[in-house]
Amino acid sequence: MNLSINKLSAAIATLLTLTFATASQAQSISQALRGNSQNTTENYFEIGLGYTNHEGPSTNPRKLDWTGSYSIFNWSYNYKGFFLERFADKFTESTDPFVIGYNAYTNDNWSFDIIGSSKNPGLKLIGVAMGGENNGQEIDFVTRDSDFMIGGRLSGYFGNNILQFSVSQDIRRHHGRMASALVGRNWQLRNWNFHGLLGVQYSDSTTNDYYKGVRQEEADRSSFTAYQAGAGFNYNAEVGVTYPINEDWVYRATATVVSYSDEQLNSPMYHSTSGSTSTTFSTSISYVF
Amino acid sequence: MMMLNAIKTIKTSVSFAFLAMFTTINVHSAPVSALLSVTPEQCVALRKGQTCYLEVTFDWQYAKAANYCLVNTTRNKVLKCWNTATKGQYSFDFQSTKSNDFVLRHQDSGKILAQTQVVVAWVYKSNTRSKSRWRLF
Repeated sequence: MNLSINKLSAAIATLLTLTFATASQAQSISQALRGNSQNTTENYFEIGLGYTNHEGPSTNPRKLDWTGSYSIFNWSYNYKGFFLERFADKFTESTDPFVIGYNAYTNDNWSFDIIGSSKNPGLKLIGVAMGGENNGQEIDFVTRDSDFMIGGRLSGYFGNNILQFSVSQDIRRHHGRMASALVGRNWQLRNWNFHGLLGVQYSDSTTNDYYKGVRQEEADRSSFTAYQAGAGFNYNAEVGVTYPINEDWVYRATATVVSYSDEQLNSPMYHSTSGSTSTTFSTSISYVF
Repeated sequence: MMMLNAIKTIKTSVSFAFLAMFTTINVHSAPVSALLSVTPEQCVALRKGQTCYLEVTFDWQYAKAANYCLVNTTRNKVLKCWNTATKGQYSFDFQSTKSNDFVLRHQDSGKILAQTQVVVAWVYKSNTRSKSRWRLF
């Protein structure tokens, strides 16, 4: 049975998966660095518009880059140790829609949170069957559910430097584990706030195989070959600047590079010429309530 | 009689004319009360507690020439003094985590003649977490 794929759907879904899985670990430290905060909390809500250019691995060789505008919808709410956070650009930091957590311990330099978040979004690769009983019909080639991971996050604050370590396990679907280590620093030059961030993220074989592997029955109904993904490390680096235009408006610009593990990139879902790294440049303006 | 009335009218008119002239002269001369202004008036930092940076310029004027000083009363610091002046201007690089008050003060008597403020504002209001404790909900 010769099958083809809806390349646009696959490219978008895959792109979101790759960027999401790596960037979500850096969400909170990036937010802290951008805002030049040191073990503090704040309640706010912001909306805005951004413009981004993203190039990176894709299933579609004609869709290896994405340029365009995007909406911003972020918030943070803290109440008696409990917190809800969303800090997301289209590709940078995180596309994690939501983080819920509880601050279990804090002192002058360290803070430990228990957190839950969806670190990997769902995935659906759709194709048109060219043969068999579904000939000419759109069918699902590969379907994966989003996860919800529970874990701990340890943050260290030392002057202008922030360390962050996290370990989490999925409780919803695949029960895989992820871990991350990040280090960042911020600088203030007049009213301009600069930040830099380096990070590494580990995904175990269960997590990687669930989102990047191809099962035999999926290979049988698609053009994919069967594939079993192992554990691997992704690496990311980010620099950016934040500037308060006035009491209500904030300007941001960010450049991010992510290097993906071979275990992820060797998945037959992704095009061989996609490369192993993604780069994202974005600029935005937000209104803060 | 008519002559007397005419003279009275002329005197009244001249008096009003001088009064008008005097008033006019007063409007275009230095103000009766001192004026002190700062531009810009607001400095915005990203987060509460951050140092805010702003190049500001103070302008003042007062009718009576004397020795005056521009003083930051928040920090109790004299920024600049003028000798036998009716107006002045002073620019400096404002750096602070909070709003600062400034006054124009008579150098000899210490009397405050005018005041203004550079307001420090921020986008995100931070709340420091309670320190050194475990939470148990």
